[in-house]
Amino acid sequence: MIAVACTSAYERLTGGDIEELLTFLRQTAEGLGAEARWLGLGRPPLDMRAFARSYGIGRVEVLNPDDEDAGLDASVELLARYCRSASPFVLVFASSWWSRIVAARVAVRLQVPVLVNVQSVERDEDGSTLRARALAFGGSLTADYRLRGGPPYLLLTAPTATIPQAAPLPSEPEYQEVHIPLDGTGERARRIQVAETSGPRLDEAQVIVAGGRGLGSPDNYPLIQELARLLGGVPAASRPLVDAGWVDASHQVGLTGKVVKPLLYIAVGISGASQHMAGCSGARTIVAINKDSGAPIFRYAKYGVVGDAVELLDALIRRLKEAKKEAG
Amino acid sequence: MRIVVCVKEVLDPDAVNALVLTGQLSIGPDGKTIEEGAITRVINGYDEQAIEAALRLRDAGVDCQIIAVSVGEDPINVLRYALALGADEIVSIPARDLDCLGVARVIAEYIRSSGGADLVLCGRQASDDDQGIVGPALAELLGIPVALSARALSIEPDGAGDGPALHVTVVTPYGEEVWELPLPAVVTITSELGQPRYPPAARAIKARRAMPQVVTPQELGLGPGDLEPRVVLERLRVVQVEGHCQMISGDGADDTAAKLLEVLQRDGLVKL
Repeated sequence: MIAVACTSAYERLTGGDIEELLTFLRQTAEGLGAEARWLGLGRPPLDMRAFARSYGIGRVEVLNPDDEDAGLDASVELLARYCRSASPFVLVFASSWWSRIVAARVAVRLQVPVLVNVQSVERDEDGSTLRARALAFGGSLTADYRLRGGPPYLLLTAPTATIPQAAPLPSEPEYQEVHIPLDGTGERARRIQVAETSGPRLDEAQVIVAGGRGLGSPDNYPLIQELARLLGGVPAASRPLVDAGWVDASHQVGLTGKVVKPLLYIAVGISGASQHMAGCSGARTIVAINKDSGAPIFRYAKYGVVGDAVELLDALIRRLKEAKKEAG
Repeated sequence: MRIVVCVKEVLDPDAVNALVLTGQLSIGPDGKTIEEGAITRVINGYDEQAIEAALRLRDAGVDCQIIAVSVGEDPINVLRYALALGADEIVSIPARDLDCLGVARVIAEYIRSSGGADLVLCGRQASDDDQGIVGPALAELLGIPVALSARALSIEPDGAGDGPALHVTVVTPYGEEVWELPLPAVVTITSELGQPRYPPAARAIKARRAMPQVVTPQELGLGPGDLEPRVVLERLRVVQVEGHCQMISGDGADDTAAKLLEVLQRDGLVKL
């Protein structure tokens, strides 16, 4: 029995995303008694062998490594063929724009189950079905599902559901490149404008300062930017600020925005709705600043300050500037 | 052109979250059904924005007929709302206990049997199960391309192929991309599309008594065997968060700020 993690060059996964996915894969494979493999589509954006070794993966396969980006239609075709020939028991994906399309389409093509936002999975007593736990209602609830009609079972992991953990013993993964000519699989959808990746990526930032409705007015958002700059971090926002047009969507943290996992996350004037927390609960330390002592954010935070967001931002900025001056 | 918008009725997610936060949400004796009590049923927010996306195409001068379709036990209220917003036709497909692939199958068969669609719009995900599978699954079933999480759409008269094409601005974790899709196509809509409009009063009044066209899965040639769910909900649980927040306070904002920065420095998170 094999369990396969599947990634594509298109996804632009960070090293941290890969570490989470491979940890989830190893844990799943161990639970199922399966061999863990990693399948990459298109040119690998990072050293797959090095990651596979640290995370105890037995085998790395790269399909069509000469392709810059396997393309959506080609990916569906390649994966459907791979499932038919290699018969994996589960296929796990990181949660991405690409994987949501490709996994759903492969599931339809093979008539097998697909589940998104998966936290954990175990084999059922009868051996042929799976039980999986997934997030629901924006992370307020979890849902336990029974999956049947596989294999393969297609699972997209919930972002930050897994804490990366290298294997106790590194593996010596086999490595194989496979070239599959795909004549006649022309891409129908064409990307005519590629996202610019200038500036620091929120999902890679070590320090994030995020503002929410408690800031009161868009005029106060520059304080978030200033504090982020002084801490060497990146500014972010909760969904109400994005929906209200104060901040553009690339700064949104939450289940429907970006999922982040910094060392330090300072949430200012954010109440802590589960949709937002699903995007930042992977932070190592959360600091909450909110004038409502009953705000749910304090349940997630390690440190909390009850008080006026703007006054405290001003004070933090002043203190950091003084410290910088003293340091010369 | 014919635009089919898929809409789902969900429990008001804000009400569910509020009850979770106050520890008052209860799950029924079957372990998987939320006790509705005072929670209202509403149109899934992203689906409302999918209707908005269709209306904006019409506003931009696209000659279109908008059909709202819902699969569920009795989705009459969300369909009436869709009609009030500006849909031309509303279609109810009564069914229960389907998984996402089952819902996609039913809608695909409806679209095929009713003269096809040039564009199919869905919300990016439902706010109850957060799956987001129906859109891409529909695309595969209909054999047409798909783009997810769009915040803007436009019809361009000259595509790369023959005839008009769709330009879709999608939101991804690493920024925005623009995709060109030949029609017909499926597109899912995200909240970055912006605030949906309110129903005009006259339409809202008229929609109150409107009845949807009802099409059963059987009429679409689908038997129970075709729709047997592969993903079956067995249990819902409220996520428990244990708080252990250390509160920091000082004599005024400056003192509090200094104390906060001190603990963060001690933890190695901030360098002063």
